Amino acid sequence: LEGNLTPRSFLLLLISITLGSFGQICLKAGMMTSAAGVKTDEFARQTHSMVGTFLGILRTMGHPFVILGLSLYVISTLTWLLLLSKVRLSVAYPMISISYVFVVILSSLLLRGENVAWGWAIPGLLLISGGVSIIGFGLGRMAQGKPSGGKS
Amino acid sequence: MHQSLTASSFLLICIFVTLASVGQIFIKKSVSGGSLTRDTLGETLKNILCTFKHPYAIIGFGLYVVSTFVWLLVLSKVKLSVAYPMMSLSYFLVVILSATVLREKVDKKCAIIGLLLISAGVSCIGFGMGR
Repeated sequence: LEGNLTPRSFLLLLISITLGSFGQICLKAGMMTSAAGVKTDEFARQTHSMVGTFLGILRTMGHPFVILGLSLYVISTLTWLLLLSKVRLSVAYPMISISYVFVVILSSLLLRGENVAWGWAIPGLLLISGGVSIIGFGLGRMAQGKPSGGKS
Repeated sequence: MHQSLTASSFLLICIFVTLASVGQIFIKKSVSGGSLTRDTLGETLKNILCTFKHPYAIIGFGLYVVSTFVWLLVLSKVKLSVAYPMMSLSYFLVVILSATVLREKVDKKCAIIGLLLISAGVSCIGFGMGR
């Protein structure tokens, strides 16, 4: 069947998810550094405006972690677009859920102050992954012309 | 730094999700057909870069850029392990807008069950935050 997962596209997928997840970790680490965080808040408070907040964010974007995170984000998005041109959406969608699990595990391991409440996070991630996968499954049925409720 | 999920930071997440989803719809409108290709990686990448010229793609990527600013703002206020899974709320708008604006056929049963599961999951993540 056209658009199935091949070893090559699976590798591409893992690369995209890994880069994207580490990108998020870098962004968070950059935004967390006290200097960046405090500056944003102070600046916003001083100006009391959207513009102030926006300028504060622009200033934090100079932080090396934020620059690294944004670059990883862009590369990961391009890899994802590449993947979408090779693989059916019904296959790609369930794979997205890997990234939610990945990011939560990585943040608990690498970031300070995340204290993941696993008792809530595990059922939450399972439900989200299930939901995303079912939407993907529905896309697959539509592509094959077999929507739910139909008799074909 | 106190990083609880307040109403205002949840609103920020919702703004991010809206911008990213509407951006997604514009980008989808700009890529014609959207059929699967067997081109080499280089050719595919070239095709992707070519779509950037389309006005809808420019609007779409513009919305992406704005959404990235909002996301940075979210990250300065909320834990990543809480904020990131909440990105899945984007499926709501993407599924609804695909069906209405793009007139894509959507498997209703799967979409409703999927979206309900996602909202239950996001609620769990939110509850965990309150502990």
